[in-house]
Amino acid sequence: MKSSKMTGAIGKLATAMIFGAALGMAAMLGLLRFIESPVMASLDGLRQGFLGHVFWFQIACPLLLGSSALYMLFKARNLLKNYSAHTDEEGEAFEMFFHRYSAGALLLTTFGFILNFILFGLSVDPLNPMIQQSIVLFILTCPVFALMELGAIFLIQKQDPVKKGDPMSFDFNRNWIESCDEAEQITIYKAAYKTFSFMKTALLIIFILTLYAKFAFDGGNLPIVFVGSIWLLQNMVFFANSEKPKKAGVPGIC
Amino acid sequence: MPLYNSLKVFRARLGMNQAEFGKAVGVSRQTISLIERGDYSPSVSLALKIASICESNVEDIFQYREDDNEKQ
Repeated sequence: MKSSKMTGAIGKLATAMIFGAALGMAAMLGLLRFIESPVMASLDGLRQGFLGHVFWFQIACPLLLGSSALYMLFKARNLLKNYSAHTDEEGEAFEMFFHRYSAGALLLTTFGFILNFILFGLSVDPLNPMIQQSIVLFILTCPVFALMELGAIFLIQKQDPVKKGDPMSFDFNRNWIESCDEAEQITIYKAAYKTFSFMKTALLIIFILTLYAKFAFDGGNLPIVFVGSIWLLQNMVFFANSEKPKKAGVPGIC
Repeated sequence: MPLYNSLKVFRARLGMNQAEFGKAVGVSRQTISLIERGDYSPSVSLALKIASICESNVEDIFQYREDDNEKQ
């Protein structure tokens, strides 16, 4: 029974490998043809145009995402100010809207923060005629996004005083999760595991893309090393954490 | 999970809303709502704490009933 299972698994693996290799070859050939096509030349023009105007994208990022996040923060704050729920239905409705606005503000702030870093990274390029302005703008917008993130966290803590943790402290994540009740902790752990599973596939795809970038666009070895390191690190951290319960005398998961 | 409960009835007897009951137990209002709807099964310690607040036994509040699908 065991050997037939193993044979089946080897067969599936071999099929997947042959299929993957054929798909990879076809994609590579397609990519090489695409590089020689006139579309590639216009895409390169688009890249040069983007880098030449990246400063304006840097301005648009905090203006659009930051102002939207600020609007949501104000909406959440006003809801909290006028909160006077007595029945379960009123409490449910209040929490639904409050969560929608506070989580929305937090999400937009995080997006803005990351996008700000990406645009800054791209702005340090000879094609950008306003490198110095880009650097100054990045230095100015980072604290704005950080302050808005702090504002969203403080607002959530004000709504639910049980939630502990100083966002400026390194122990914030630990204190926050310890102050959550068991149902909230399960939700967080489930989200974390789903993220881990998703990232396993996403990193594999990104790794393949960096390989294509190396061959087709002269992307170099550094992206391969970086993506490979993140892939390795993520799995190492997961397995190290899954071993912790074993050390405490609880059966581990691996 | 085939865990049924009559927490809403016991809470109504105490005259508390979900937020007040959650505060007394030490969990959020949302968690109480999830338990009452049967969307979340509390841990043993939380079930015992709920029973203690309700001045009742765990078995009176939470009942395990096997589903027809599980029996098959």
